[in-house]
Amino acid sequence: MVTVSKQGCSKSIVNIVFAIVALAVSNSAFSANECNEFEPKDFETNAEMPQKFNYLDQAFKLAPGNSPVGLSCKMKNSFWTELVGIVAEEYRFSDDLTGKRTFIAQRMADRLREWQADVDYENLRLLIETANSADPFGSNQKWMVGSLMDSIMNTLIQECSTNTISNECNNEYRLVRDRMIFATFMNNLGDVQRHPLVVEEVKKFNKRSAQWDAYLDNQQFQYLWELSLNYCRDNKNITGWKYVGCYVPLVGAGIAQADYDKKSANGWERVPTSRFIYLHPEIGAVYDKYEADDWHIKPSFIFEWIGVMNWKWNDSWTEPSDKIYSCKWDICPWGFSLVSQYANFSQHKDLGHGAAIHFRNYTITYTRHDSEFGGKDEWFVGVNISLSKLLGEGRNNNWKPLQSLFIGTN
Amino acid sequence: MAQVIFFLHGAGKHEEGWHKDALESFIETRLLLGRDDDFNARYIPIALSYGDIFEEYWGEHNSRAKALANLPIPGNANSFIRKIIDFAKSNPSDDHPWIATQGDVVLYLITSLGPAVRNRVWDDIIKVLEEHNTPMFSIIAHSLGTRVIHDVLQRSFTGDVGSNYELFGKPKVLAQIANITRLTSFNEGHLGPGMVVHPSYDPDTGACWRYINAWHPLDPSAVIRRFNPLRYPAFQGVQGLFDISAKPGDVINIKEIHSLTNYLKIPEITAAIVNGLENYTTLHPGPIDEAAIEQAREKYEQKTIAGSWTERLEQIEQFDLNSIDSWLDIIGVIDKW
Repeated sequence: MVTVSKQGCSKSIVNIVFAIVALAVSNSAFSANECNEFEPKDFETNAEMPQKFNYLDQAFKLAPGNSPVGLSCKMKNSFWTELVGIVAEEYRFSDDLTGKRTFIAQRMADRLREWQADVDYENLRLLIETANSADPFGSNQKWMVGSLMDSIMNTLIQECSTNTISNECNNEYRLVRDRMIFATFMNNLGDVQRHPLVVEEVKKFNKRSAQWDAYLDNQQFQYLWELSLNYCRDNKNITGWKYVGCYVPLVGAGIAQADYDKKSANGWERVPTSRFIYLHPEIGAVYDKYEADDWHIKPSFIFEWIGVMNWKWNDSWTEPSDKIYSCKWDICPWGFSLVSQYANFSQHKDLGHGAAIHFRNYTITYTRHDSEFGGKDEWFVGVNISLSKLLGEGRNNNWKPLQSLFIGTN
Repeated sequence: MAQVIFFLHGAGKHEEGWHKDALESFIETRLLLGRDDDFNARYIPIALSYGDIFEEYWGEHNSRAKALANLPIPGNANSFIRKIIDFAKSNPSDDHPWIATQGDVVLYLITSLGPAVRNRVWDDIIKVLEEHNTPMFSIIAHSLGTRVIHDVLQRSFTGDVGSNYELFGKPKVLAQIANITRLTSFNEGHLGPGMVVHPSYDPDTGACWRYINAWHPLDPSAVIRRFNPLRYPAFQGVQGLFDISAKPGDVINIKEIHSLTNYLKIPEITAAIVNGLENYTTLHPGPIDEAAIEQAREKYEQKTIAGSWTERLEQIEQFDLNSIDSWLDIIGVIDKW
């Protein structure tokens, strides 16, 4: 925050303000040298990038909320820097003050120096501890800064934007001094308290992102109507006749979303742990042992009428190398479906019906086809496009007819 | 403390660094409005992107359709199977305009890709805020992005005291450019009493400090079922709402009328955003006043279509060709000739 003097604003008046604020900072640094713990590089680090969370974290480790330990020098200096930084920012942004800005900033800097001399750190520490124990995750504390700053700065601008020093103006400065330190402390306190929760929130959403990626990429592809159905099904607010609407391709999800968004309390949608397979065309390959020539493997058209897949997320996932699913023997997502399969069989009818089992994005079909020339009916095993590609990569000549078909497919 | 500005795109393909033109536009207009300080010292612009989720989906979808269409099915195949194959053959390619625009909107609205997109956007926002250690952020969203961020803020609502959402606070500015939130709503239900995405200076309500709703009267996406904030009780009588309509002539290239770049060239819109970004206190009006906007508009209009037509009109006036008599004279001359 104290980089303000380095930022090279072209307006000279702004530079004057920054110089004054920088002077205030350097004064604080001078007095801070009396503290053994203070090191100038702390200011430098702070100036380059306000590592608010980091150094305040350290500061609070030195003065835990529950133990009556006094504030460290580092902490005092950190807060002082914060405060001056806030004032600097305030004046940097208040361009409408034009000529009066220098005057106000100078007076503010004077008052801050005066304040630094007599600030009652012990009371402030008690204040932090009280706030800490009363409402450790208090949202009000956080916003107090914004609303206090509003009222303070607006009054200040109104009362003190003349060159005449009035009693009102002096009182206002005193108010600023008292309130701002409180506000700053509350703000910092809030940040420190929030930080672990922020980290938790980031972790939580990292995990959710990985789960969504897995849901969309590591399983059998979902057509538009399947995504729509599953989106609707996952919406726990849909009940009664509306739930039936989920099974109407593409329409149900509209009902779902309109209903879901009515309440903010509904929060984030959970990442699904199951999905329906519904009217799903798939391309695959089937093995025809009755074929006279060498090409036993034939392209097939698989149509899945309805089915389901299930899985469980690994709740302890923290990084991409961790397993995203948590299933017995790692067999998930898995599922099954009712299918029809169509292929150009040599001695059996092209269309047959049966079932399929699914593992991730692989499918194995098992369909029964009637005999065409008086032989016996037969069950045939087939695989879907992903598995046939996996099996067909340079394995044997049987897969050659499929290669041209699958060019450019995933 | 530098402030993060998130840019959120609309439908269609968006490569990495997609926001550069829009950002350039924003910086230029800001300069035109008299803000000549170092932009980079004050702001950290971040481009958010969710388009790859749709692109990957359409890529997979199209390759499946292609394989299905190539499937060697005999002519006497079952009619139902034949219909599916024919349907696959008629599948639009991934550069088809429908796929590039409405396709994404449909996927977002009615499929599980919607929650995945919302999750991605919020995940990216909190990662950036964590990385930069700053609670100060603003969002400039465009087209489908307006709907996405509306839904994200509805879910990450920060004003609900006592809830677990109180982590990062509200964005200072939520600029909804070519807002399609209402256009993409199935009914008014989710814009009703439960909607929290409105501006508020009250700590406990609202999902942003300043809400800018910018639209162009010739931009169909922004005008059809226009999101008029004042329709909704949550927006009535609140401070921090700026509903800004561009002038019909506010366009430099008519093909780009819907683009974020075009919108951010309009002085009133950028001024409202900058004022929101730079008023450190929420009640403060911001540094750009009406006079500065007027000045910027004069310069801006020289570049617009309307501006060039005005220039032509002035030329006509100069040659006194605006009276009917002058034209009759010309027609008379042509007729004689």
